[in-house]
Amino acid sequence: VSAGTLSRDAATQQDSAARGTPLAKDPGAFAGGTRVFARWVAFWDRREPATSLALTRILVGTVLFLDMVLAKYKGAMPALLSPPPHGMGTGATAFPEFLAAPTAAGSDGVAFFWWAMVLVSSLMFALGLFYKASGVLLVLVLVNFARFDPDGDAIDSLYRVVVPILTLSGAHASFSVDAWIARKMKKPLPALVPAWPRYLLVLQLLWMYFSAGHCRDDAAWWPQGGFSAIGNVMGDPHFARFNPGSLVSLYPVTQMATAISMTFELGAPLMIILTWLRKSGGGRWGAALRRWRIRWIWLGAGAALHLGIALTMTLGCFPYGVLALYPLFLHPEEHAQLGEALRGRLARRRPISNAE
Amino acid sequence: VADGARVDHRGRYRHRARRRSTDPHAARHGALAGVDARSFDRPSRSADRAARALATDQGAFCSEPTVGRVFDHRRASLPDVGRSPDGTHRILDIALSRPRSRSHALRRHARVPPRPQRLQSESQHWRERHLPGFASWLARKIFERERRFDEVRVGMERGRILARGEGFEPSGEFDYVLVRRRDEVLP
Repeated sequence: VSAGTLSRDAATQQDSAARGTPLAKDPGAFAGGTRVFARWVAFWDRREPATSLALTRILVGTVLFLDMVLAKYKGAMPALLSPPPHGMGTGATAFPEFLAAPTAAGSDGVAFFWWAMVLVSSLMFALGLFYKASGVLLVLVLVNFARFDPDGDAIDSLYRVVVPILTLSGAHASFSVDAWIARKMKKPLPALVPAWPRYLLVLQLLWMYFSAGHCRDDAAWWPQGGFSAIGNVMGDPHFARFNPGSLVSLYPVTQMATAISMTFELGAPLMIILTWLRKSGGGRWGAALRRWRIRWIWLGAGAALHLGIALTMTLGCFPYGVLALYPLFLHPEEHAQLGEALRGRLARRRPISNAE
Repeated sequence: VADGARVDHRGRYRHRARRRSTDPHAARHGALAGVDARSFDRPSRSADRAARALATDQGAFCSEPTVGRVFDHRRASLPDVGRSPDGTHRILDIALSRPRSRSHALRRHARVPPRPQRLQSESQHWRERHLPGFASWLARKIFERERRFDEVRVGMERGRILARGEGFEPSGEFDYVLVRRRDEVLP
């Protein structure tokens, strides 16, 4: 494979793949495979504005930061990280080992140290301040949280995947202190960043939804159980935000919500096709999907699902943590369009208020 | 709700907590606190009773083994919702940790033989690994706030979620009870 074929310039690659580079025209036995490989590399080497990744960076960092603030406010840190008899931690050593780990005797100071590490690194991560360093620090802390408290919630596991990928991305190229400093120093960060972290994270999210859907073996989630799962959760005093039984008149709504949730989660793989056909392609079927805005309906259902969880259940930061990743589903140009539409709407309102 | 405790519109037990908190001299005469952490089963899955998560009515305290919400310090005192079956312990309404819900777990029963499946049960894992430490931590918090208690028992109460969203029915029967004394958990 020539150096030109593996160039990091996506446009060059796509053009050469489309025209047929000398390598691609090679009638040798591996020509077809090489062409496919070149397209594969070109796909993962696409560039785009950093808007989606930057918004996700801000929201993820903010969720982690606020979660730490709440954990401190509620006195949770020693209990989560310290080993028995005073806490629920494992007593594992830290990584690297020269760092202090919570122990059975006198762990409060060590727990505070790890709490402060997350607090500071997540804030820097959200602000995009020394982004790569803060990202590496945040990854290190999350790895150690996994050692001290491996049975954390689902969002902890998800963020242990998300934060390293975001750290490797160019998410600090927009809306960040680093970008501001770079502009002041006349060395602005690149306008286009690799898109592969966004693709990878979107695939991760879609797999999360699909696996959550197809792994539900409780009949309550399925038609044979009467779609009673969310109704049961509403009656479960641990999960329910409102007094169990107080929403009994809304039981049919919970059944509908259960059915929609399952449809949404099991339909997650279709989002790959919907995203692929976002602008064009797919013939009549593609046109119908765009006309009926199926992709937006799927996204709206997901947002409603998590907002509904936040409203009716006490699941900590889980719903907010997942919603923080939703900017990834939109292409940066869609963020720009949404921003313009919002600005236009505000501009239309302003003269009216002045006239009044 | 056991023992006729009054519940406000947010499901909190107010008048009892306030009344008791104004009487500090009532403390330390051997009063014991039974801490209520209810396990539950669903109508359709009674076999899961011991393997399901645990909970109480939402109230002052809420905790789970993750970084997240745990304690609400704004409450003046711990709400009391009844007495243990033998009458020796007060039952405080405190939501304890929940192990992961099995309905979200992988289909372990389809891939592993029954015996390892039971051994890998999330709640059993949680009970053995986290409940002792959690009980100590919770007892410590209670002793710090409620000087009248010398001993705390942390257990999991069996309960039942009623069909068609009609609510929750506690049983008053506790399993996996752990006892923590003040001098054990407070320096």
